[in-house]
Amino acid sequence: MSNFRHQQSPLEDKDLLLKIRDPETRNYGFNLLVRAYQQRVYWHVRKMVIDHDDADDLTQEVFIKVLKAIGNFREDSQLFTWIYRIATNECLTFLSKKKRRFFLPLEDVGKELSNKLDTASDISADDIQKKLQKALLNLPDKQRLVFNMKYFDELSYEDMSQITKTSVGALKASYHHAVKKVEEFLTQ
Amino acid sequence: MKKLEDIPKKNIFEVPEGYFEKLPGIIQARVAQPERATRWMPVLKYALPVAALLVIGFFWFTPEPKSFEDQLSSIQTDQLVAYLANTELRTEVLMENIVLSEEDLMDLEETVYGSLDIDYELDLLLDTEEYSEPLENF
Repeated sequence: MSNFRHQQSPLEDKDLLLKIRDPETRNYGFNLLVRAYQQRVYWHVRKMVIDHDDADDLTQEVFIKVLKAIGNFREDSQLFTWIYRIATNECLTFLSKKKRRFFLPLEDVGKELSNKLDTASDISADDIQKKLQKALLNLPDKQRLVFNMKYFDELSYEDMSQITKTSVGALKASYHHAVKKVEEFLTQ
Repeated sequence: MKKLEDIPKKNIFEVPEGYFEKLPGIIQARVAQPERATRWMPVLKYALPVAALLVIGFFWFTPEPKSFEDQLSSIQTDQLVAYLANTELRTEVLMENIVLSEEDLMDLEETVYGSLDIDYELDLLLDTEEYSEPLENF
């Protein structure tokens, strides 16, 4: 169930980067980059923060940071793993700040996000789907992230390793444990 | 045990209509804003209060300059004596640089003449050749 209709090829990415690095075509190139990656970024973020407005803000921030940092992008890694990494950091920072700002213990933020699943008008899910999402909210943020990338985004462990700078072995273990916890929750 | 593979994979989240058509334009508009003001604002936000504190601190801790009299009175007498003893200043040079007010002159006169035996001093004066003749009208 990948959210991506079209996957950018390395050649297409190279072309994008050339356009962005040329001052005359910078805006046009950046516009193309946003169009190419906006959905991947948005859905990755949305699954983590649940709320559309938060996901919208974070998605915009991700692309603004991408543009600022594009000069530092080393072409030995894929553009999409680099962008995904920025998006991942933005999500984790957002969730971490949310917990600190309101002095909420971890489970309260999870509860707040869980309530949004029940009340938000832009979430249409039958009971089992909602239960799955609520099960995921019980996981630590980083483990939830790994689960989303593997289960929903269908990324390879190698790509996930590039994004999270974590070993493939650790990612496999994390995903395996996440699945076990989710299944236990669904069985309750 | 409920298995994950038994649950259909589904994206339960929705977006407002036309969201992805509008998003690139919104982002483009944000990056096109002049960066100068926003770049310097965080710096100014912290730099201005720090600069204000430094200025206040400078004036608060800088001692007021002393008047000449205060500076002079802070010098120890023995230091003055030692200085005068070790310099070649002559009385005439010192006196040239002193400006005495009328009041100072009167005080000085009182101090000098008050300590003299006038008659004895006059006798000394009169004993000089110039005053050898008796002073008839005195």
